Amino acid sequence: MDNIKAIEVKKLSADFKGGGKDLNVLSNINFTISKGSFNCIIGPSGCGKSTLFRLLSGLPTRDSCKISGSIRVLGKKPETASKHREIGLVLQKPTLLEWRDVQSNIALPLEIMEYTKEKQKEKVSKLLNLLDLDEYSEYRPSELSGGMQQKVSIGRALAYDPELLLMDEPFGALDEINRRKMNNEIIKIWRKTKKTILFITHSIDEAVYLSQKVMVLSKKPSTIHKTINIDLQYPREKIENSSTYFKYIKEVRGYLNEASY
Amino acid sequence: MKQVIKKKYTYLISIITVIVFLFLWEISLNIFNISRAVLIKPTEILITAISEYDIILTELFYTAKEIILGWIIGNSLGFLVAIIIYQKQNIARNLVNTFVLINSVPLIALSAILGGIMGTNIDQKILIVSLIVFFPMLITALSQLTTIEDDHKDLLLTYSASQKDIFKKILLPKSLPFILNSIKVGVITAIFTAITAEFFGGYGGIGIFILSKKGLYNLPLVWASIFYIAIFGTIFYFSVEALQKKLTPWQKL
Repeated sequence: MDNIKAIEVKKLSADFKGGGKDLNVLSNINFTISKGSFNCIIGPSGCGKSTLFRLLSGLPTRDSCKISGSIRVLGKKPETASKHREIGLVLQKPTLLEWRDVQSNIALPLEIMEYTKEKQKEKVSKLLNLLDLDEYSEYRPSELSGGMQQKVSIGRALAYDPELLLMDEPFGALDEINRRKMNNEIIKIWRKTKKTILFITHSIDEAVYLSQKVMVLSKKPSTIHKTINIDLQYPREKIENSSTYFKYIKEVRGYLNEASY
Repeated sequence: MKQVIKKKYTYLISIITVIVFLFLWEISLNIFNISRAVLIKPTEILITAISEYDIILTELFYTAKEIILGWIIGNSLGFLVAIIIYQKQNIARNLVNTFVLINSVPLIALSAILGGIMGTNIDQKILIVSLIVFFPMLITALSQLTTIEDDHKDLLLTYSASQKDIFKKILLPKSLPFILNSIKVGVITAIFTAITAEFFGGYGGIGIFILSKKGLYNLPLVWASIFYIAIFGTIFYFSVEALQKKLTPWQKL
């Protein structure tokens, strides 16, 4: 095990320019995430979660923005890590290509990264297997439910085997039951692949259910209000009614309330 | 299965509607005592269509050549020009509006002017049909090629995709349904344009034929011509639609 952290953010601040005065979106954010861990960021809506997500992914921010501080993803700048194909993205919407079936949607990044045809096939069939999607390989996105579509987009993010998976409220559009199903799926995938996951959500229950570490973001200008370590064992189906589980929920809710006012 | 039955049912309804309509047309001429100079019976049209098919079809083929060639040239050029302009992203966005403006000019009126400039031969008709289908295609293709969903853009950025990849894997397939739709609508416009352009003068074609027979009050021949144009248009339109279904199976028509 090397000592490079998956993510290391130091004194990160972001100011948007617009409407004559600067808008301070992120202010003095500090956190580290170790390799192979499952982490959630939770915060009130409009608190700059998406801006943080874009900065971590190495994507340009939607509006012009002044950034100070440092972000290291696997010891590199996010843009570099992204170029080295070490970051996989799962967005709020599945954004699958409607004209491609499940297997070629998963193969899209591989095609662009010029993997050989055999290699593509091999990777895709492995992923279909991991995600239990074998029998759906020739389905089009429109023939799948929202949860299944998001599963395919997770497959696409994993296709080129990135070390870090960044997920931006991927199950936000799902109903309670399907969301829990997908929560179990992502835990299963995480335990099998041992990837580092940073998961953004606005659901307290989801954050506690999924992660080893929950970071509560305050409202604008956002900063990390509190970090809670969730010391519960996986899989978590059996403990979601336990008193410790509720204790964590209560704790996170308390901090989130503090952070929102 | 349910869908197949439903589809058959729709076909049946449209066939019955046409038959009922023709039947009412046929009997109402007798009942209301309508003069032959105003309207003639469907049966008479059919008889003329069968007996005079060779003259009519000769004229129709002349026009069909104008329609099909103009349609192919106009659509291909529209698509090609769109791709060329797409390469220059920043001017492309501004140009779309200009093309929309040009397209709102009734280009068919140019027919008379063009007739004076280049004569009223078949080339002039092909040029007008091309022009008429060119702009809608250009506008459709260009506006499709120059827009991309933010999320798609973000994903491709993380894959470090090249411009060529973005074009090939996202923009082109995404535009295809819209382009094919424009091509399909172009069928109707092309037919309409070629025949109207012939009304302004020419050396042959079904439009000229209709105009001259109307002058002679030979209504059965005029109607029989329209009958054949309708058949041609239907076959043309649905062939393009079949092609569309084959090329974009993910689209529900």
